Amino acid sequence: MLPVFLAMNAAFMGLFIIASYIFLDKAEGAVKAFAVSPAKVWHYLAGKMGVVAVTGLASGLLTVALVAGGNVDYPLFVVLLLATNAFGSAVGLFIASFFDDLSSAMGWVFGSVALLGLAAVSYYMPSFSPLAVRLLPSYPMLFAFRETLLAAPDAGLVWANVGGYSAGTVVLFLLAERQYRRRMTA
Amino acid sequence: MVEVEGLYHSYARDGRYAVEDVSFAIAKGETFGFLGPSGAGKSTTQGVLTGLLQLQKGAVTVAGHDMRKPGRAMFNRIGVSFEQSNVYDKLTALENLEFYRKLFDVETLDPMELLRTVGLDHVAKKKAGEFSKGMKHRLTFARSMLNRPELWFLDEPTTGLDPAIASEIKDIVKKRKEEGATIFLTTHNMYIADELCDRVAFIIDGKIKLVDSPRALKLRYGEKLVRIDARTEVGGTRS
Repeated sequence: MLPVFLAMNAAFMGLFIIASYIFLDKAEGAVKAFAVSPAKVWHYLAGKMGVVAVTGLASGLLTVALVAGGNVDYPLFVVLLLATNAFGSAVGLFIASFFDDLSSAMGWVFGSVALLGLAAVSYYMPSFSPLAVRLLPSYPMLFAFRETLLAAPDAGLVWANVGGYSAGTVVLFLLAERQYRRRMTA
Repeated sequence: MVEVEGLYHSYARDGRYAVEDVSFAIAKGETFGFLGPSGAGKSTTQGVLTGLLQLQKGAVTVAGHDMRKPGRAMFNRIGVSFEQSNVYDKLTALENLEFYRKLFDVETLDPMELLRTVGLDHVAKKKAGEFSKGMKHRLTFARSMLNRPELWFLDEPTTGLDPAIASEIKDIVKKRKEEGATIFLTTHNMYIADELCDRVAFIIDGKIKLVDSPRALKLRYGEKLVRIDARTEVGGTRS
């Protein structure tokens, strides 16, 4: 069970971190300098997501390898981790796009993490699985990560999750990008 | 190079405008000073011209690009030096310029050469976070020159700098002007505007009150003052 939660931690790493990165750049004014260059807003946002992906992948692989050793389907695990990490970052980007500073965004970020964390409660206590919790994006994520740790994983389930999180990432990223284009330097 | 017609911009939806019915044009190669007290609307106007603020009402063309939808190409042609230095503290001076250099699609100047121009070559490998305010300002200034901008926006380029450095910055601006660059200079300093600008506009409470050359303005509004120093010699002693 522990590796599943460690993987989840790596997946949702971006939710916190990406908002901090962007607000730090805003505070330093570096965003303004970027905004008057030919680079596009999505380049900037994708760059931040890339940094989070590398960090998430390194921490996820390291912790899961230490705990689960060789009993993991690593190629499947890496693909799922990258997809879920991107999704977590996109959620963080989307939330942060509505705020001007970290302190005002933090309430929403923490609230989202607490909400997504309900899936873990349900995973730990199967009797607690109301529909609202099962609809949370973190719910299928737990089961998908569990599959990658099994001797004979259901690859179809994992790939379905990868597809779902990738689609969600694209939608949230586009919405966030639109919002940042309007507000990034306001 | 710049055409502004009936520009309005509001930060709130209460109908109050930070700039109101602002119109002016800047010819290619001209140095245009934008003067006014704090809160007059200088930064808002510059914000719209540089794409930092969305154009809400009015017609604005910058370097041939309609600011309703400025394309990527426009940003290859302009440079912006901000009043507040905004460099990456964790990067060295050289890394800062190298990073931004990669964002342009056009040929850029050598970062080390630029650092030399603004007198920061000896600290090229020092992190910007360790710089003084004046040094960060010079780094921001240098960054704005990376793409050899045809249209250069300078926001208070000498504020907070010691006189020697300020003089060097002014010399760089004059040199770029000689090379044909168009310069939009935002300042509250009349002397800088007088020294560098071909024409100046005064903006007060969001409205342009006056546009003319510094010389014409001095002739029209300046005090006519003739100063005479008298010196007499009494018994071989000057007094």
